[in-house]
Amino acid sequence: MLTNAVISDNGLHVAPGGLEVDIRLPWYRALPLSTVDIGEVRINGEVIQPASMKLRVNGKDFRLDQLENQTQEVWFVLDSAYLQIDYPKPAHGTEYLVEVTVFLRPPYIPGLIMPAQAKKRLLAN
Amino acid sequence: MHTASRNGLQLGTTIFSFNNEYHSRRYTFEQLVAKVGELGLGPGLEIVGFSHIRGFPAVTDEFADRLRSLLDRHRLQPSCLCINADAYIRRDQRMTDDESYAYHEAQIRAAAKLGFPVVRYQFLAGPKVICRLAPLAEKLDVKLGLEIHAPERPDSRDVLAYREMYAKVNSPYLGFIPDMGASARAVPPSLLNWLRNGGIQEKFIQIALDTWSIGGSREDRAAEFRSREQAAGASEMDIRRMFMMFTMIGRMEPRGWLEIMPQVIHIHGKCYDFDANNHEVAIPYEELLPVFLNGGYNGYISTEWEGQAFNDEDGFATVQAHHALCKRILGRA
Repeated sequence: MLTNAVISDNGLHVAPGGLEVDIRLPWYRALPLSTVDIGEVRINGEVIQPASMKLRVNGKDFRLDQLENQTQEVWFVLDSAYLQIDYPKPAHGTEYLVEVTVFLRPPYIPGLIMPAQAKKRLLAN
Repeated sequence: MHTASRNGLQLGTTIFSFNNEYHSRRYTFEQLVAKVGELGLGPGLEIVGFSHIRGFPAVTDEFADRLRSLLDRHRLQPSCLCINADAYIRRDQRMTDDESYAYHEAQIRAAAKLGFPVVRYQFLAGPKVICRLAPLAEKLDVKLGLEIHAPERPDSRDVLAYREMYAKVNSPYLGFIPDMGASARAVPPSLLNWLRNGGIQEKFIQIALDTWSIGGSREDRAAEFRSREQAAGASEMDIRRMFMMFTMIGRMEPRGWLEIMPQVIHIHGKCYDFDANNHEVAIPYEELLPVFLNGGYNGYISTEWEGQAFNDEDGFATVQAHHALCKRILGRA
């Protein structure tokens, strides 16, 4: 049941200026980024503003509002993407409650917007 | 012709059945193919281009060589490559027919390069584009099969549009791929458990099951379902989730497939749950397989375990159960 798989186990890392969450495409096949939306993201219950996040896919960074135009950039089904979150004073070894919602628009099913939501307590490393 | 060596109904497996193992990185694609061989779940092997091939529809020589030696080593035959009609890669603008032609051409060329005799294509391709692709299919010796998945059936409007075009073109390279989930006798327990675990109240589930079982067109049943659920107070979210019963599971009589039998080029052996006597609880294979056998079908049935959409289990045991059931019915046990 891939819709549960959005946040990877051990998927929280301290990064310069914030936190980085290892996320997976909750679908059985690769999809172009233009069909992926990052929905609500919360850390310890607090909603993170979209402008405070970027998504790294295939080693490239995208603002969340850039995703819908990325028709040629493909997120392969086995690869992690990294949600980079501006977050003050991230601390190694600290536990955070991480919530991520992803919406997929499979390009062969007109009108379907598939939500996938995950919530995990993760130790930042 | 690839089909020359085939004889009657052959078994096989699609790697799609092992989405849980693959996505969680517990097994690589190569390990899954090896497992299909080791467990005797061939001889047909079906894969999904955009799932199992990085960079698809581009296929490197290295991947093609690797797949060929993998299949040889495990005595498997390439049966079908699933391709997609991704018409809405741009959110605001559907692919043009020319773009869709090129998008499909690349995938059909990938199938030819990998030795797949059949591709599974999707409705969104449209009869016009598939008609234009027929000469290419013939040149590359790759058959194009429209998957007929619930809620579609051979006599539904969208399928009739393809049948009309097929009759005009009259090419053996254009065919259909029935999905057995379109001719079920019940809603699979794993789907119901998933709805229950999601917190939907039993009374709403019972209403959905009752309306799933009534007669009438799919539009009538869907409308009846919605109005009864709303009257009982089900939420819009719950109604949408339960509606999967109608989109994933059809209840056509098994003999309904006879209408298109000469054009059937591959079969998706959809399965969900098996009871203690090793019968598929929802899909009547005891009735379905004889329809294809007596109809003269010549090709593969790929076991496709869809239960992975509703739980996190591995698929091997269920795929084995489906093969055992098919062998029993075919008298090969």
